[in-house]
Amino acid sequence: MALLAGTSTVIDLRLLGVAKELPLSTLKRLYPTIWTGFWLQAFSGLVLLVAYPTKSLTSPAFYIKLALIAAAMVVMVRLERRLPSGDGEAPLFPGGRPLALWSLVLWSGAIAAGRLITYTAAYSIYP
Amino acid sequence: MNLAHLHLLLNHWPIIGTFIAVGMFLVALVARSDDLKQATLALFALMALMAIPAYLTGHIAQDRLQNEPGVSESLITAHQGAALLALVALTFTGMFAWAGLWQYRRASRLSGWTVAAVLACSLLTISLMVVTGNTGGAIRHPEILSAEPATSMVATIGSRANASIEYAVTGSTRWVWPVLEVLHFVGLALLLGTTGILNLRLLGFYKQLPAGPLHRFIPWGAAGLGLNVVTGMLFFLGMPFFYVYNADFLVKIGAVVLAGASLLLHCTNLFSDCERLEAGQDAPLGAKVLAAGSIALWVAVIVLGRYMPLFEDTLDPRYTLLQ
Repeated sequence: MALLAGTSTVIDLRLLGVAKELPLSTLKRLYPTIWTGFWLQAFSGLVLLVAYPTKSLTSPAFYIKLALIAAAMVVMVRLERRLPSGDGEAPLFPGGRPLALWSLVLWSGAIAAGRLITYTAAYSIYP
Repeated sequence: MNLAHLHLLLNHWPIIGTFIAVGMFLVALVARSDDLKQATLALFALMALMAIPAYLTGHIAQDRLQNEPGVSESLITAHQGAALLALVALTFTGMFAWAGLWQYRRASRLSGWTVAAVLACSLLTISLMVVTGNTGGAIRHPEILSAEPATSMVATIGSRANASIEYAVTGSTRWVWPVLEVLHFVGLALLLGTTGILNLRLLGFYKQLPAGPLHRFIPWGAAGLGLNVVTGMLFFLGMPFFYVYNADFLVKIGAVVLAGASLLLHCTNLFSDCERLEAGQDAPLGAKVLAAGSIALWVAVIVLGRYMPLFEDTLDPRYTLLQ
């Protein structure tokens, strides 16, 4: 989660104006970390789902969480495509700030929905 | 040695350390010494971190003493109330001190409002620490008791605050706890994401990125740490006895203090070379050791946090250190 949402947050903060000295093109190098986090999460999440299927599947928060993660990943991929390649300074591309804000909102929402699964599940373990 | 020793081992440091830091700060202001000011600010922030375990372990000592003959329960309540207010004041002192350290990194000077804030908060802290130390000492030292009533206004306010926090977190609605959990996890992502990228860069992972700009994300990591200290303390105040006999919890708090200190080191002069690292340059060995230690400690904090529910009551309530 720290690799995935944390690294995305760093990219978003840069696009929102933190650490302006950091060239935009270098942000592309952070994407392998994001994907490492994504696959780690997908794998361990799948294992947990198999282990405790009723907990997630009976909780509305689980489906909301999956949708928010999907949306956040779409935003991150769209951001990556728009990042300038090559060296040198490049101005912020149009639409960068709204996308970064969306990313922050979607990741926070995904974390919140994930936390709330326990509290909204009909039953954690099938009786 | 038993578990109640922990409180006695830890509780003198934040009181004496804060007194020393206030003295150092006054000398530094008169002598206009920037080095001494920075050392003092770091000491304030360190004391704020060390006050956390000092406060938490108080519950163990309280539990141990509660049914002893000659121990005044109202004195323990008064001590706890004063300690809570002192902890809050010291946390504010530590946050402003950290902001001052950051100003030194970015602007090489301290702004007037930071000096005023640190001074005001630290003076408030030591006056609350006096009440805390006095009521705490009196619990087991009847020779210092005077004819005055055992409680003071400070202690009353503090113990009322304690009781209302406990009610708000666990008794009011069932949604306070989940909301705090969400904030705790958002703080985690912020803290680990920002400091993690910088630490990985220092270790040589994203060598094409210059290190200086990555250092600018540190305040966001510090904000994440602040959020997690506050939400974490609220969890604790909500149900202290779920935590204090949990071996996993005590180790986690130790790791938080060390990891927090590593975040502090990132903001001192010791590693100012790192900020000048351009793309492709290798970090000095000291910085790599700090980065590796920091990552290891934060990962340990996460793992210990996740496994905490499995370790409830693993420590013997009869206070031998390990069962």
